Amino acid sequence: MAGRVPMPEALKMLYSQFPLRYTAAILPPPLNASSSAPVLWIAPPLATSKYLSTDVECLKWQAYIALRGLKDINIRWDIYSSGGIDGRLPCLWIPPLDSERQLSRGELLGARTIPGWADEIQGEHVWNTESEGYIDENARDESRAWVALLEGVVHAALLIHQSTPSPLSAWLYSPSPALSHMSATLCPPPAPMTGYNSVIPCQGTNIQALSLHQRYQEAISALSERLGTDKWFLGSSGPTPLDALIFAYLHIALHPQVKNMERARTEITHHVNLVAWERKVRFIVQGAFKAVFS
Amino acid sequence: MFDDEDGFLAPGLKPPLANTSAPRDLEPTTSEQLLLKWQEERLQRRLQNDYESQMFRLSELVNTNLKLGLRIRAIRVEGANHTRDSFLSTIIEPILRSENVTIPSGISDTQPETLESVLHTTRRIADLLVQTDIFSSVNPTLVKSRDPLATDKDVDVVFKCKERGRMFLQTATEIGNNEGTARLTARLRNVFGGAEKFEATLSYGSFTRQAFSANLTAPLTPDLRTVGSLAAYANDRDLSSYASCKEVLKGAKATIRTTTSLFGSHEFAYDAVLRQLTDFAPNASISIRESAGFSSKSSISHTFIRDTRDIPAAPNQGSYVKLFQELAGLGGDASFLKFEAESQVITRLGLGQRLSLSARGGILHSLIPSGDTLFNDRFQLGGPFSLRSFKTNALGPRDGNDSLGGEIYWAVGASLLGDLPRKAHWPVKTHLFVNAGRLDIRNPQSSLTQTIHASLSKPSVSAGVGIMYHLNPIRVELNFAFPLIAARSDGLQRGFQAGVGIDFL
Repeated sequence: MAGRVPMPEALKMLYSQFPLRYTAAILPPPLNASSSAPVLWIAPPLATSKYLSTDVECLKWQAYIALRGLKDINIRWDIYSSGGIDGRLPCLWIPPLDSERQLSRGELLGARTIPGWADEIQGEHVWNTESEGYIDENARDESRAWVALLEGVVHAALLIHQSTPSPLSAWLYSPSPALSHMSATLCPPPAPMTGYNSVIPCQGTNIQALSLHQRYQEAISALSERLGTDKWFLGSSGPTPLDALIFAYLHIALHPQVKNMERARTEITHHVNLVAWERKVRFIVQGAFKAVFS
Repeated sequence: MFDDEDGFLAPGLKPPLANTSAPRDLEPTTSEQLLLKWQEERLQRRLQNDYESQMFRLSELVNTNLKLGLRIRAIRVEGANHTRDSFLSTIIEPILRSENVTIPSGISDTQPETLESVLHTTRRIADLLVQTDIFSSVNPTLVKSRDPLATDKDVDVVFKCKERGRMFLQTATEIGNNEGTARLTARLRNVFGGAEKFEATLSYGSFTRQAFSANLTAPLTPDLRTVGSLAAYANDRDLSSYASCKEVLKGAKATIRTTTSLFGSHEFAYDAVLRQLTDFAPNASISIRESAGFSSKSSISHTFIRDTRDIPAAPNQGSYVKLFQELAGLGGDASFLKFEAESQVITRLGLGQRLSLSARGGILHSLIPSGDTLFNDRFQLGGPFSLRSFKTNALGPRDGNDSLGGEIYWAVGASLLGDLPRKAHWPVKTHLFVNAGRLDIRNPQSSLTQTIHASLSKPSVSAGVGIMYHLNPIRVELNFAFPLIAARSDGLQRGFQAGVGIDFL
């Protein structure tokens, strides 16, 4: 930057004379699904599961928005995940102000910035307090442990049931392998398959499916026990961010896309309170969104 | 043996072309070195003159016996160890038929065979054998037929050939544009013994850019003018300079290409490709993000090219016409009709000046009811190859830094190319140009005529001067130019602009 030679004034003056005449700007075509309300971009839902994404990350934020009580949010699922911020969904599209519609096409927020946007919209909200909507600080701290359990063991257990794509499909669509997700999810990270005491670099990931399933079983039992006959988890009087997270995982496991996940589903169906709770929350979340297409 | 035996055996005495009996004048006597050199030059001169004399006599001998009755009894191709006999028969028999040569039954009724016709046939077959690209050398000879039933007038044409190496492997490392690329190319010639060619290329770039292609080509007609090819390809195209993303293509293509000397070449192709827009930049616009993900295209296309330019990249005279039409929608997401035309005329004005007039245009018509088109299929315009003094692909509708592409475009250019003063032989030429064009989205409410009229009435125009360097086979341009008229959405490149390529407006 320091080495950049400044342009002589005479040349600047010459450059500023061109073009001699401007014509009107060529306007871009309208967005495929524009709306006057914010639109949440999610991965596609199943035909049988109204508006609820099949992707657990998207469903988490759908539940977050719905349980937080945000109104007038639309959803669309015609955009591939690579189009999202940082190449992942969900994203929240905020429409431009009416006065800026000619100049702006709105703003796109990544998932991490949705809470900040919600705080701004809702102002003082119980989720925006120090207790984050939980009954006390202990419950808030406990929620962190549940989050770690869900995003660790439960997430990995659901991933391991995903079907492996055929070699042709893998070459054409280049999906990121589930195993690499699992390595990042589990704590402590799983050991490699080979490479100990060897000069050859470590290869693969050694995941004990049986052990993982056992831990998944324990986690589901613990969840069921913690919910008991309460309306919401951790004894809260209203929904909390943890409820949104738990709903996402329970829904994905109870409505499997692939047959391999049947075992994970069966574990939950053994706990009637979890099934009933998921059903209750599902209606709330489904009712909070409507689809928008051009 | 011959009709005019006397004339054949006793040609008139003719003097040689040059006097080869050099006198001993100027023979050096002072140094042995000089003497040796003098003798060597003398020998070379004599050999050269002998050769010329023999060639002269041979051609005279042939010319005087052109009407001599001769017929081809058999044709033999020697040295074609990896080439199928059926393939050789396929390419040779049509020539014999066209020359009214019938093997082995004898001379055709329609036209008597002579030495002249035999030589013509031999030359045509030799040319075709060379065109197969199988042989490094083809030496035809006429020998007395070894068929026991052969008469004195029967000869065998023997082609002594040497096949080229069948396998070729090349690795290359290139550094440029702040990127290093490693490339591996493997080529297999005459794969199945019928002049088929298989080529596979794999390349990796330092910015994870990779490309792979495998192509099998084979002649389809005996005259080798129609060639079919099957290709599989996969490559990553970095579009970040104008669209904040990367396009990954994985597909297969079948092509039939035919060339005729009078009417140019035709190419018919079927292309099935899976396209992915991915790796979006953090500041990518919402419009371009909407195009993310996979789309598939299954299309047939026809390309016609007629090129009479002397040097395609830096022509001095000639003309060029290219017509391209594509129909997509035979399965896949893309469904459209695309038409593109391109032409160029170059003429000499005298005093080392040449005038080049170019025009190109295209239209993309969606075949789906909503009228939407995909980003991957739309046209892009602007930059040193199309509209100079505008940024590359920066014309037409834009969202932020991203060019969204258009459905109708046109561009015209007039260039005056001239030699450098007193340096007409240099590959560097002067360049004075005016360019105009526009890229638009079609308005569904307007008719095609209205859209074309609106597009033509609001051109973006630029003009400038520059120098052009022809570095065969590419052309390098450095121009100093300004946009004269521009749309507010256009990306401008005032002042200097460089371009390296072949296909300039």
